[in-house]
Order: sequence, then structure tokens, then C-alpha cells
Amino acid sequence: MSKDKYQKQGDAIFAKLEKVNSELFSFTYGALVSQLLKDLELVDEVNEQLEKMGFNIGTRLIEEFLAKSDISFCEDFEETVNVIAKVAFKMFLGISGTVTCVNKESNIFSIIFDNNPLSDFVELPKSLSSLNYCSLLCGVIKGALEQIRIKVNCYFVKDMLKGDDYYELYIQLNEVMKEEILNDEES
Amino acid sequence: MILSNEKIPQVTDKWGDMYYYFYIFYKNQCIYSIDLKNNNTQEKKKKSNKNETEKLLLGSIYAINYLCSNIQPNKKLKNLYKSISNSNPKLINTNIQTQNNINTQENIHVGNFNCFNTPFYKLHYVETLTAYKFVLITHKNIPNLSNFLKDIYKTIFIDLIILNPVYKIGDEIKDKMFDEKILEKIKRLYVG
Repeated sequence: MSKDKYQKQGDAIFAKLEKVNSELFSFTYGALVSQLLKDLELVDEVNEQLEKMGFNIGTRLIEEFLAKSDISFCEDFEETVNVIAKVAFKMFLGISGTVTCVNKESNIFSIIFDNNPLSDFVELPKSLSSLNYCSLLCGVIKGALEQIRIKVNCYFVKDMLKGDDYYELYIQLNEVMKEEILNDEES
Repeated sequence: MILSNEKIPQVTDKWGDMYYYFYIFYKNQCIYSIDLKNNNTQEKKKKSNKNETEKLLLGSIYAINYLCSNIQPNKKLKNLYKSISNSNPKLINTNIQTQNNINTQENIHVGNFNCFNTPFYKLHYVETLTAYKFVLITHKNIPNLSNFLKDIYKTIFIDLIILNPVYKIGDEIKDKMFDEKILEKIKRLYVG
């Protein structure tokens, strides 16, 4: 019931937003990854740098999301993940994901989606099998949630670029932080 | 020509009598403040006094938020300042926040109060989920301006600050365009 609600909400917001050609977005991202592969020698460093860039993007993207969507508090983390998969993904990527609970005790949820504009027209050579091409997306989610004081782990477990049939993202809730109040006497 | 020249100071003076101060707070810091009262005279407070006032104001807002959260009769709202860590997985599965059906805020504002009034001034307040706090201090008779502050957040703040790649999040805002837009919007509020 609440899932359909977010689906409709995502579609409604998507309909009224300005749009850009997704191929421009795909190729720009491709150029970014290519340049990083040239600049950095190790593939692990490229993954790390993409996630860091994504984190910085996420800290700003959350403001645009809050201002343009009608989303406020989520009652629990599952609802948060649903908002990400059905509203935020729709707003910023034009896709929609399916959310399932992988491990209730550890608060791990998965988002499954079939297409990803970041990796259109992309093929990975065998020498780059350890490259997480879309790890920028994980960084964005981490950065955005940290701005609203939710710390998560986010990583791909299935990737069509590596031969899987679909994309699957795991999001694990680590901590919900409270807003810190500075004590003047300590500073 | 003479008449139009005479009108301008009058409008400006009255405008300065109705809107006093505007602040933006973020993570225990005042990242923007503007003295609307003394805009004409260019009078500036000493920096130490200004910082003291800003800290006092921020502390007051925290206290009022906390007070409003705890004294409100409908206990559905959870404490905004509650923290949960992964060491208590059962706690995480409980509701972190429930929307209060009676006192539902418009979604951008997550604070526990909109404004408060005193015999001398009125303070209007909006807090975003990302903990930006917008504060406008006005004449006591001004109606509630929470929607106005939300609009500042949605348009001027996001377009000129968040989407500005030169601005580093958490830094003090020093942007002439932003100053002009804020002043223009508040003036339009008076005239409109």
C-alpha cells in the first residue's frame, strides 16, 4: 500500500521536473571514469575516488530532493529505502527499484532494478573486472543519508556489467545519529 | 521626480521598522546573518557581541524545540534528539518518527514550533530535515512567515548556495547575489 504511494509520488514529481538527455549523462559519466582510470593506477583507488565523489554529490543532492519532493520523515528505515528506490531514483535517474528486506536483524535492505542510465553503452574489459563502475551511486546514497543523520553501508551485490541479469544494491543501516548540541564550556 | 524621491526613504524606513534580523544556522554555527534594521545606517555590531548573540539565539531555539517536543499533549511524536545505534537492533525496528496527525507540519519544516511572539518582536522559524535553521525576527504584528522561510529555502538558498560549486557546505555564506536576493524578497514581502 505505502509502496504504491511512493511509486505514484515518484511518477508525479518526475513528470514536472526539467529533464536532460540521459545519453549526455551516460557519456559524461563514462568520460569521468575513463579519466580516473588514466589518472589512478589501481582500480581499487578508482572505486574509492568514485565513491568519494558520489558522497560529495549526495550531500548537496539531498537538499534538492527535500525541496522538490514532498517527502519528510520516514517512519522506519524500510520506508526510507522505499523512498530512495521509488522517488529519488525516479527523480534523478528516471528508473524505479524494488525493495526487499534481506536481513531484518541486521537492517539490510536490497534495491533491485533492471536498467541503469549510468552504464548504458558500457562494456568492461576483463582487465577491469574489479572495477565497480557505478560506485558513485553508492556514494551518493551514503552522502545524502548522512546529511539527515543516518549512517549506512551501501554496495552493489549484482551488476549487469559483470554478467548478472539485473542490478542489486544492498543498504545496511548502521546508526541513526542525533543532532549534536555544542557545549561551550568544552570548546 | 521630487515626489518619487521623497517616497523611497519612507518605504525603506518603514520596511526597516517591520523586519529586524534574518539568520541561517547549520550544525551549531551561524552561517548567515543580516541586520535588516540597520541596513541604511550601515551600523555594525562588534564581532564578539554578534557571535554571542547568535549563540544565545541558537541555544534558545534548541531549548524551545525541546520544550515544545516534550510538553505537547499528543505523544505520537518521537523525540527529535533521540539517537539509536546498531548495538540495539530492536530499537531500530521501532518507529524512528511518526507524523503527528493533529499537528502535521508542511513537509519541509521538521521543527517543533513555527514562531513565538513577545511584546517587542516575533520570531519565525523553519528547520529542514538536514538541520538548516532559518530564523526571521520581525515586528510583533507580522503574521506567521513559516511559508515565506520555506520558500527562501526552496528557491534562493538552494539555487544560490547549495548548487554553487564554490560554496563549501558548512561554511559561512558570503555571497553578494544572495544578500541582494534575500533583501529583495523581504522588501517585496513588505510591499506586497
